[in-house]
Amino acid sequence: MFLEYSYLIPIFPLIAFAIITFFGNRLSEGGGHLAVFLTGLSLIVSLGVIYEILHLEKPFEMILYEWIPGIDFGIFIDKVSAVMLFVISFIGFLIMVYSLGYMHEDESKPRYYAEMSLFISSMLLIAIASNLLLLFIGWELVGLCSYLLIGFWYRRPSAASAAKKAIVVTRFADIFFALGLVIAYNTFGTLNIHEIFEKLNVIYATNPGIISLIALLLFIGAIGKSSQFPLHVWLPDAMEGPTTVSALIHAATMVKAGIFLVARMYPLYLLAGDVMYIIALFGAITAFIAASMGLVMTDMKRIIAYSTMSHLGLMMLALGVGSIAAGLYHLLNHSFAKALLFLSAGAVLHATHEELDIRKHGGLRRVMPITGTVALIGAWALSGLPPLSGYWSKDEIIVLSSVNPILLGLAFGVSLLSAAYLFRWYYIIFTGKPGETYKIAHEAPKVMTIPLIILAIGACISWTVMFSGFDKSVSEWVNEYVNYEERLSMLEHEIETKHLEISLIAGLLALISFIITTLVYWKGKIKPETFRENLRPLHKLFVNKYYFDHAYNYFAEKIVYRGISFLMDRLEKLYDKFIDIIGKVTYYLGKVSRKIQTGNVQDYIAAIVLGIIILIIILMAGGI
Amino acid sequence: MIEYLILSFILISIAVIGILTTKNALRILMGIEIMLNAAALNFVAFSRIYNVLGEIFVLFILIIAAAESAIGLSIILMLYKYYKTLDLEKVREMRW
Repeated sequence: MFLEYSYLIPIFPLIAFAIITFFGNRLSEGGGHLAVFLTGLSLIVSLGVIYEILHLEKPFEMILYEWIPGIDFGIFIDKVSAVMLFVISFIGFLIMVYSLGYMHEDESKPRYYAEMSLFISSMLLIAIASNLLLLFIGWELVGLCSYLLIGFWYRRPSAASAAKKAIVVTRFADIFFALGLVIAYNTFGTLNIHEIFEKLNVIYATNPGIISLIALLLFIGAIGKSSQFPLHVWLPDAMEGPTTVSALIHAATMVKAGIFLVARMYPLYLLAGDVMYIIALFGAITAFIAASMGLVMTDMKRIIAYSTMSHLGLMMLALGVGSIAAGLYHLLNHSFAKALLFLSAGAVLHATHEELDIRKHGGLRRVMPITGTVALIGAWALSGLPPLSGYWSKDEIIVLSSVNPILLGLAFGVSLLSAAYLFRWYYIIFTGKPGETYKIAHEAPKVMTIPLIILAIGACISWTVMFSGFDKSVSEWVNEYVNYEERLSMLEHEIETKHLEISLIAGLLALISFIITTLVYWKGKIKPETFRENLRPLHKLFVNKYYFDHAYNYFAEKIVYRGISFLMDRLEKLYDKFIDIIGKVTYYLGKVSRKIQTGNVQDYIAAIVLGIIILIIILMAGGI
Repeated sequence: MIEYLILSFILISIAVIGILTTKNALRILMGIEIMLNAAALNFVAFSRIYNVLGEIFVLFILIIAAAESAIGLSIILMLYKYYKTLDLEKVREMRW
């Protein structure tokens, strides 16, 4: 009953976008109430759709309009979309409600709510698109909205440049995505997702290389969007927008799009074995380097941003080692915890005049009890300590990564680091001696704390989904097109019986780092400086973000810029010469030929008369 | 019939010779007017043989001739005001 109307899900926020853009100034709260209302409507429809699709055996497909053969606009909903739909519409709605409090004092509220609505709308479009081209449209819209929202306070130069960085990096990756689409259309003759899956086995039998190529190109697109190594540099800078925007980008939209793309095209990826290894490796590397960088940052939002990167890496790792279910579980669990962390950071910033440096905070738990508690829940859930949601999915991913010693080592490293950086963040801000901001801080209004509490409950219980048989139904979905088990065994990704040991080691590592962090930052038994002194080179490496920004800048300035300016110099000279030659030729031709134009009317008339006489003679000679 | 054509030929010859042999702008304009009338005469003459279309055409030619002479005369007037002469040999500002 709801499924037939599922096209309304992205339409509602789109309407909000249109109305607020034109009449936002006249609406209550700058259109905020309307945006909340319409995203709420779309949440209701998506909840209905999710309920129905979970009870349906087959994916639901509905073509609304066929443009040219193979490119249609319609809806394709399956269990993977259901997870994504839930995350986007539910968390998007909560963030909208929270924005009512957070953005209350901002001057350009209509612009904010309009862009947020468009953001949610285009992300919902990605989740339910029936066609890769339609998905790509949503994908680009998401990129545009992230650009607009990261640069929301565009008068700040740092915000403007962060927005530019985000769009340039992701657009670079999107070129590969678009290329993948072109090749896919040439190979399959269609971009309809369902039809591509049905043709997979035929194409694979004749030309397996092209499948790997398409999978790789789409994955590069996902790298950019999901901020994976080596295109991760934009995400930490994307903190310049309002905190709610960061929450939306990290928890519900933007960065989840890349994970979703890989999950959506999973049958394709299962056939591209080499690409799966690349995905797993890149995911693991991202997870590890992000976690290590998060350990040394002092910017409140940046730490959470690195945590997002790290967890996105874990999701990619899960997808890469062949478990779509684990990837989706982690996506769901991470979304709740990450939205929770960002929004509680937002509450702290809101109360302390946007003080981002965590070293200036301290002891805030006493003045902001609710925010402090939910932040603890969020940190706990993400750090991988039992019994909250992050533990269950992270544990599964680490166990899965045991197929390869490198992956396993990186996963253990992540497990060791993530508890450390998250609790460091929590302890410094919320416990210990009162910091500079202690006096002005106050608890957030109800409109902000209630979404926080709902998210905290979600972060506590979202792991229960893992025991609902969801993984089985996703595997069945994949099995419809590709033999899942057979592919996995061909990739040698069979899980051995070391399950319990690895799980125990991972839990132990997380616990050790939790205890050390507690001793250092809460109890103050060990000075953090001792670590810094003893591990100086490592600290320097982490603080400078592995010199990625330096390397890119060096590449851009010294190689690209210089090369281009050198080339341009040469080209310009060549071009100048060319233009000169054209000018000179014209000049000399003119000098010779202008003698004909005497400027005397008589001469012209004489020429005309002469011409007429000649014409008459010719005509008469020919006629007679 | 033939006499009309001969008259027309004489008129156009006068006009061409008049234009070619003078440097005076006013005379050139007069020559052009005579040319137009020679052509009009041809039209009228032929319309006796074929149909009335030629005569209608002549009406148009008259109107256009009137407009043209008005514009031509005003150009000549401005020319005179600016150069104080009507000798086209001396009006050669734009020439190479």
